[in-house]
Amino acid sequence: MNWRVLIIGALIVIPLVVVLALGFGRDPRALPNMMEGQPAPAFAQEVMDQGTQIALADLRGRPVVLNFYASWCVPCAQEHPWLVKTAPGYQQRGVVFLGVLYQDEPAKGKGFLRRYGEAYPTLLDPTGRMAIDYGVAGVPETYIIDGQGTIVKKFTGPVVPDEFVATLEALL
Amino acid sequence: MKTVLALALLAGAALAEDVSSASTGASPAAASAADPAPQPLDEPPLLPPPASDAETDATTAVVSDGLRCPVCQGLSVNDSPADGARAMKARIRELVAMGYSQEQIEDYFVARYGTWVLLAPPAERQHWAVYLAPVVFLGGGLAVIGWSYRNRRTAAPVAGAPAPTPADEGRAAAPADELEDDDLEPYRRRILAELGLSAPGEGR
Repeated sequence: MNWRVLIIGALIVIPLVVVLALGFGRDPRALPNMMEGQPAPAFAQEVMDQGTQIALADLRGRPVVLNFYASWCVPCAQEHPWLVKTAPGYQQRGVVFLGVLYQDEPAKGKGFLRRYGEAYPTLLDPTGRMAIDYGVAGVPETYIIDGQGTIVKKFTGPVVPDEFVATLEALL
Repeated sequence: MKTVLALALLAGAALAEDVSSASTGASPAAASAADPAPQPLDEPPLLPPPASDAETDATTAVVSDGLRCPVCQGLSVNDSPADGARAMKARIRELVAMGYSQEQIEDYFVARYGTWVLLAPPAERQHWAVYLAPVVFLGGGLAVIGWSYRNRRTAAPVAGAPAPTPADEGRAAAPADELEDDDLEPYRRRILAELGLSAPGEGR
């Protein structure tokens, strides 16, 4: 009888423990990183405040940094000054930096850049289609694309400076 | 099912309205702005475009019901009032209108957000447990019920039947009497002795 209770108990408890151990071991809000190693989705977006367009196809051969941000996003404001400070050095070495305004109005985007600095153009994505094409689930998200148009790195949340610099250095 | 769908749609629409009216003018141009030309996927659509707007809307609702909103996470794209989900829904509608099948659209989103984006995980690889568990638990439950039912049936003759006759009742009561007479007698004697009384038939 005791053996039977023990075996039935183990059959119920062990799978439960395994499921819980697997479940507690990960962040339920974390999305899988699907885009690293994939070809960067093509885009041709209007540049905020300029009326011109920038297309990914025109940037072939040069590494591209795409930073999705919004004026209402607190972590964006935290990472932005570092990006503004870091961009010029890499721009001189041929890297293209582009901001993408995510679910926000151009006027507020401009206010954000006045406040936190501006070192590169911002693309507009009024329908949100570009963000969906890139698999953006929230802001900030930053994509590093190599000269062949492959996404080599995706940062969910603020960029990690060491990894960001290491990734770009490897492309240059 | 249809009523549930309709209610969900109504609730979603009401929520979306609340949000946009709460932030009057603050709501970005997303989806509602003059849409640029529809952008096809890398593959051609498998179906002919829907015949009517109503058909497009219905298919859009079905597809977006099965996809999770990446912003709010607990809701489907169809139910979520978040701007990100509305943009996704607009994109789904655009693809449906071009004739893309539900599977093609789901593949498009899975390629970007992972199978996580599907509210019903696909029946494959590591997800098999999700689909097997209910069957296992149902089988286990039925086995327990069957086992206890059989136990009860085999135990029944001992406990209930046959109906006791008056003679049997007399016999059944006998052990208690015997216990009282034989086993309890030493204790009775001891109590009486301690009380300074003598057991009946025992002189002082």
